[in-house]
Amino acid sequence: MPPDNSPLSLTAISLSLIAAFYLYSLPLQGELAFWRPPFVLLVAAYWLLVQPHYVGITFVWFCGLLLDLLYGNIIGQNALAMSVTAYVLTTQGYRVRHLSLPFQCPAAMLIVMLYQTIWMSTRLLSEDIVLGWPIFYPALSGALTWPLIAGGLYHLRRIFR
Amino acid sequence: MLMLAVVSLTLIAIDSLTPWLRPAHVWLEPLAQPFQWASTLPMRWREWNEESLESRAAIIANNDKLETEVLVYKAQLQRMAELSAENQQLKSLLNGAELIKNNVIVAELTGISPDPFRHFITINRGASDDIKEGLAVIDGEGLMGQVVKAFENHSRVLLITDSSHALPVYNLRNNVRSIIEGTGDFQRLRLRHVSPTQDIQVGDTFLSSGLGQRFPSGYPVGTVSAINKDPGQAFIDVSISPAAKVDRSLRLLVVFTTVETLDNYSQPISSPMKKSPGLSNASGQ
Repeated sequence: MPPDNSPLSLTAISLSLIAAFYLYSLPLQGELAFWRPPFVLLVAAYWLLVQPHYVGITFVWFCGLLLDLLYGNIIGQNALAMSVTAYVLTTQGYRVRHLSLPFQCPAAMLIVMLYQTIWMSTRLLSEDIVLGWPIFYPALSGALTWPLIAGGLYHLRRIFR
Repeated sequence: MLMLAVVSLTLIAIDSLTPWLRPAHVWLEPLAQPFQWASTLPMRWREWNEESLESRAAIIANNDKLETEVLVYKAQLQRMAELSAENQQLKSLLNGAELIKNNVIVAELTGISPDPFRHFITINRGASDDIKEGLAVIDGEGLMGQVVKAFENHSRVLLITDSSHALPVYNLRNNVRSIIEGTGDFQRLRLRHVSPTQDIQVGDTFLSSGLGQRFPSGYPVGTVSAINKDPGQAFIDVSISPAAKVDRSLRLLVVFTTVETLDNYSQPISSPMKKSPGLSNASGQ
């Protein structure tokens, strides 16, 4: 399959990221809020793997920066966590890309765990958050929703080709 | 990569230690508004459903109920006028020179923070409605939080259930003062440093005491839901359920506290105290 260089794939990327930002901001009742998968990270990671000439670490860094600015976090926290995660992902990209879907889910879980660890560590510097297992709930829910995200983005990519 | 990491670490340091990046937050806030608004869509949809898919009979019944409620409140308000007049009179007898008056402005919830570790909401009133940082926000049932950032047309409110929030309160039953802090759980607050011998029971109501100079006094904060006495601990563990519907209210009130001087009373008391501190006792009696 030749790489698709049409500007349409840029549309697909931006549409999916807007959807990810929207999903990220949906309110969830009480405890459920801890289970929200980091949609922006997962969507960005998908594009990082399948469209590496459009989406690089800098792009992911800007996504993280936007996330910080939009939700009033301390600027740079998400940017750092997401760009380091993206870097690790690109170094392992040749492995991850060839995994079948059932094996992609644990990979997504590891990615989200790494992201959460970095993000929470930077947050601990300036905020008093209650540490506990809830920090890693998004990793589990991210792994469970990964087939949906990957499938949805695959179809989106086929529409905008 | 290293470059980006260094840049983000620098940004984190600058933003957490200095106020230099505040303008960036203010400029980019309007960008977040559509997302914030969209985030309340499910709540709005549920409310719209309840409002517009009800049967005529249910609406009439509801209307009747509301009319009765208004009547009851009006009757109570009549007493209230008399009581506040009496209160004013008593205060003037006690040489109190000012009366605290709370005005409110109605605000609507426009956004909820997606971060489960911080309890922030956004309301649709901002600096253009004279909203300032530190104003208290209540709903129909009790105290909800305080404004922590006022933008032009909206502001961000920190809820009392946030784990970094604490406020001074007193027990309605016996006036014992205490401090309530948030736990990060919408359904639970916690009393801080309660000694095992303190008179406190399940069901006690706590009101804001106004001692922190931040919240107006007398608004319900919560009721004691459980007391856990562990003999090995120096303090007992008191759980409070918040009076306000912290995670459900869509319409809120922002409270402006204004201090009014009692105009029907001239105050000679404060002046002698200032002039001769030694005589303050004598003038008091």
